[in-house]
Amino acid sequence: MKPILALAFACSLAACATAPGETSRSDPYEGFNRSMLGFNLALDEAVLEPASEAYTAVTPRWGRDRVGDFFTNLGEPVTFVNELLQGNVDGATETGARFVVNSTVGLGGLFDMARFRGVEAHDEDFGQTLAVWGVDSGPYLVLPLLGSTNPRDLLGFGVDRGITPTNYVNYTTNDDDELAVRSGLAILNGLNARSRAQGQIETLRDQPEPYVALRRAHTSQRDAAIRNGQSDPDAYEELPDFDDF
Amino acid sequence: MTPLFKSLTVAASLALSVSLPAFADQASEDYVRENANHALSTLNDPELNSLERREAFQGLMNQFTDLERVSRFVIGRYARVFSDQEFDAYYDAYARYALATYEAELDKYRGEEIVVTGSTDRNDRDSIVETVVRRPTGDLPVRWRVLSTDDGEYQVVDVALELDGNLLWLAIEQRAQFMALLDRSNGSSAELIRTINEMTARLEARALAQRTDAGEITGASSVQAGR
Repeated sequence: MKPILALAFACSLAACATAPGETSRSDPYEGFNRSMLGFNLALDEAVLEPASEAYTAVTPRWGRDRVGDFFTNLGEPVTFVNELLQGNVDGATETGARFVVNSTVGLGGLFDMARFRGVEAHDEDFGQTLAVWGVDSGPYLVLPLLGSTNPRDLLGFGVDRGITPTNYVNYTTNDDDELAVRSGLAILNGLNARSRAQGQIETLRDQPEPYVALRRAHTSQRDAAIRNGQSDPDAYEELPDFDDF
Repeated sequence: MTPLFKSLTVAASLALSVSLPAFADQASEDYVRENANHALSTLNDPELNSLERREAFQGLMNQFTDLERVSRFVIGRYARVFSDQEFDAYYDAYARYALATYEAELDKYRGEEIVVTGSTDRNDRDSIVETVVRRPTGDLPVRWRVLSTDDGEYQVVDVALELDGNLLWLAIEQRAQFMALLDRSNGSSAELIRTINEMTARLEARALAQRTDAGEITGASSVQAGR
C-alpha cells in the first residue's frame, strides 16, 4: 500500500472490480470497520476535502502532475526491491531504469520521462510480495487514517516504510528544519494524492452501501495488483446465473 | 472511477477470449455492436433536443437490456420475499435508476465507436461479448453479458469495465450492495426504494447540470427536465 494517502487509498474506487461470484470475503470485524470508515469519511469531509480543494485551487494541473511524478519516483526503490523479492527481474530492471532516467533526465523525478518512452511505472509493495510468497491476507480491516488494509498488507506497509531510502537521508543539519521539511513533503504528497482521488471518493459516497463497495473494490484491486494487472483466468466461470431468482 | 481508466489491455482481453471456449456467438456480437453503437449515437444525435435524446436513449436501453431480469437478480432472494406490490414499487424505482445509470456512464463516450473484439459463450444461451470503446486517449474495454431466450431474442443483463486486470460488473456490484442494505434493514423494500430514489435523484441532477453547462438546456426546458 502506498504510504501516503492512506485515506484516499482507502476510499479509492478506482476500479470497483470484484471477483464476480464473491459477495463477501472474510470480514469478522465488520462492525469496527464500518465505524472506522465512518470516521475516515467524516475526517475527509471536514478536513482533507477542503484542504485538497484549496490545494487544487492554487496548484494548476501541470504542477500537480509534477508533484505526483516526484513522489512516484521517490517510491521506485521500494518497488525495485519488492520486484526482486518476487523474482521479477524484468520488472525490477524496468523500475531501476525508470528511476535512473527520471532522477536525471527527469530533473529529480519531476518529469516522468520514462513514461514518455513507453515505460510505465509499476506498483509493487511488500504486501504484494508476501502474497506472491503465499501468505494469506487475513481479514479485511479499516483503520483510522490508514484506511482499508489487512494484516498481511499492514505488515507490508511497515516493511516498505523501513526500506524507504529517504527515511535515512537528512535534508538539513538542523532537527527543527528537518522535521519541517519532512512534514511539508508528507503534507504535499497527501494533498496531491487526495486531489487525484476526488472523483473516486465522490463515487464512493454515492454508493448505496459505501462500506460494501469499498471492501469489494479494495479486495479486488489488491488481487489484481498481485496478479500484476493480468486478467483473472476464471473471471467468466465465476459469474453467477441470472435465472436463479 | 478513476480517472482512471488506464489503457486497456486489449491484448489481455483477446488472450482471454482465446483461452476460453471458442463457440463465440456471432449473433450476440452483432446484437451488441448494433445496439451499443446505436445508443452512443443517440446520445450524440444533433437532430434531437436534450429531452428527445434522453427519451430515445432510454427507450433503446429498455429494449437492449432485460431490466426485469436484472432487477430480480440484484435483490437476490428478496425477489421471492417481496410482495407483488412491493416488487412493483421497487421495480419502478430500479428501472428509473438503471436507465439513469446507463445514461450517465455511456454519456461519457457519446459519439465514439464501440468495436467488438471477441466473445465467449458460457453456454448456449449465455455469452460475454468483448468490445472496446475507441477513444482518442486509448481504447476502453467494455464487456457485455448477453442472454438469449427460447425465441431467439437477445438482451443484455450486465456490463463490465476493466481496469488493470479488474472486471467491474455493474449488476453484480449493485447486487452486493443492495443485498447488504436489505440484510441490514430486515429486508425493508421501503428502505431500498428510498435509497435507490436518492441515487437516481443525484444522477439526474448531475446529468441536468452537465447538460445545462454544455448549453444543451436553457430556461423552460431545464425546468421541465428537472421535474
